[in-house]
Amino acid sequence: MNRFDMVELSDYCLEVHVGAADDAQIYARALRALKLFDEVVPGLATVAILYHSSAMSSEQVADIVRKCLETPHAPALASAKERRVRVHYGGEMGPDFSTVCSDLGLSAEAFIARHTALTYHVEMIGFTPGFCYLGGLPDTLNVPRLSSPRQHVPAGSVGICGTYTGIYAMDGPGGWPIIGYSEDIFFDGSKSPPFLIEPGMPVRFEAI
Amino acid sequence: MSAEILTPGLQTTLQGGHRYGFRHFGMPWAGAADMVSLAYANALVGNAYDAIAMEVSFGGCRLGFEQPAVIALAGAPAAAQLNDHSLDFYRSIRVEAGDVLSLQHPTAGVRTYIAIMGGFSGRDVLGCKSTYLPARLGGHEGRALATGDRIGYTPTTSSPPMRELPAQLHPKFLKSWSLRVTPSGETSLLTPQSHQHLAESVFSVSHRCDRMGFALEGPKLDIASDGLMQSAAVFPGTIQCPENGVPFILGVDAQTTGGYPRIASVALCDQHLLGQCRPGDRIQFLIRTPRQARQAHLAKQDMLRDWLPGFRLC
Repeated sequence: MNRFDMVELSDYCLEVHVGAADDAQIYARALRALKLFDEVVPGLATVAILYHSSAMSSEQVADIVRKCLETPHAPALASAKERRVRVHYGGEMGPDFSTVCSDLGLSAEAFIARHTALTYHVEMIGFTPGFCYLGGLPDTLNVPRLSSPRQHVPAGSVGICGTYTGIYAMDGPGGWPIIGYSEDIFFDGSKSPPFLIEPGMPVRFEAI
Repeated sequence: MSAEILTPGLQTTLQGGHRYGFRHFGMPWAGAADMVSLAYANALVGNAYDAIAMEVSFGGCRLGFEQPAVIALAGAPAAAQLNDHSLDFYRSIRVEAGDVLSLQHPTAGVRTYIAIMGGFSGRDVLGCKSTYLPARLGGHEGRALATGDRIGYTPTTSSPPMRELPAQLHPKFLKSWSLRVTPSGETSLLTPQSHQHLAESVFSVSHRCDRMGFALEGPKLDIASDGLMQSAAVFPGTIQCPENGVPFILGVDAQTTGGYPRIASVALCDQHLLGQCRPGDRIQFLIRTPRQARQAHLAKQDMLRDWLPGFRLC
């Protein structure tokens, strides 16, 4: 895909390829500010625009998007306060931890040492409310998603996949290998903001 | 004014319109799984199309009214009684204090809607009262209704004109569904044979079937995927296919992003049918271009607007 290539995901959704998660966040914010679309949803390399298909054509949407993306946008991710997340690695609540360690050829201690040594950044929130994609996992900790997703992953579960660590903010299905569990409350619909972790926030893990 | 749940059935939730505009926070839409049936039920009691109604999955629900009200039933067809009189769907029904509504199990489809004049009361979250069960938000305490719950409704002094939907407009509920679909972001990862399976095979709805969506049993699809796709937007109607070759369709509670290849999308015009597909039902896909799908959407919306003026089909 080339930068700014567009593809129709459905009869009411256009997706534009922007290349990187930081760009996706910035362009999504610019497109959302136009207040012309039902939803503007950034992915890790893409922005999806859901529009009212009986009020505007896909060609009109594509024109609006192209003009907006060609306008320079200032980097918009203000640095937020670092969040420390305490994790129980392995055990019953980290059912894939030992498989992940053996696939990577690491001892449990070596995995934990590497995973807790780095600061990660929230590149995307999605999949389920508050599920954050924390970018920056090194290649040496890179594993694929499960070949068959789980129907029930408990809130607070910590998973890894590719170059991301993810935190499941609520109970739900999931396809990432689960390496551990945090007792923090990541989503609370009665609070404002309802999410513990916000876009762009640096996150460090601590083993307990 | 309230109605008491005497028996909730398998899963009864308060649902109305979608919770739009927060998918970038990971907030799914929720709302009625079958918006057309919701709109008919609401129209029959004089409500806005997206007012909060009870969405009863697989019937088996009993409801006692504490004050007079006007109600209507639409959606998955099931025997229904008010006290010991049988009730028709698709018409306004006056109920009195002490009346008990019983809804049996549907003979086809999944979800029956009970609308009430003025709408049921639900908890507003981000401008919408529909229940999103996984996050326990909206609706009645964010959960499915349980025996003894008392669900309020807005008192209305005026009475709507008692109406009946003409029989020829009643939606058809069968055990097999033809769904129009368009290609999506990763359709090209399917092998030619799997393309053909998608277009020509009959799939059946798996027993894993809820408001999040359902898997499709049938021929396994071959997909050229390394399991490391960059997560991207998904939405109700998106058909994803993991490496195990078993595709699944996302429902109205669909998550906002996902990492499995998006091989097709159910067209907007047929998304309301997804809420009525039950385990074992057969599904065939009709492949359309996005342009053809938009034309079909406009045509269906125009047809629905004969009886539902201004209704937005989505």
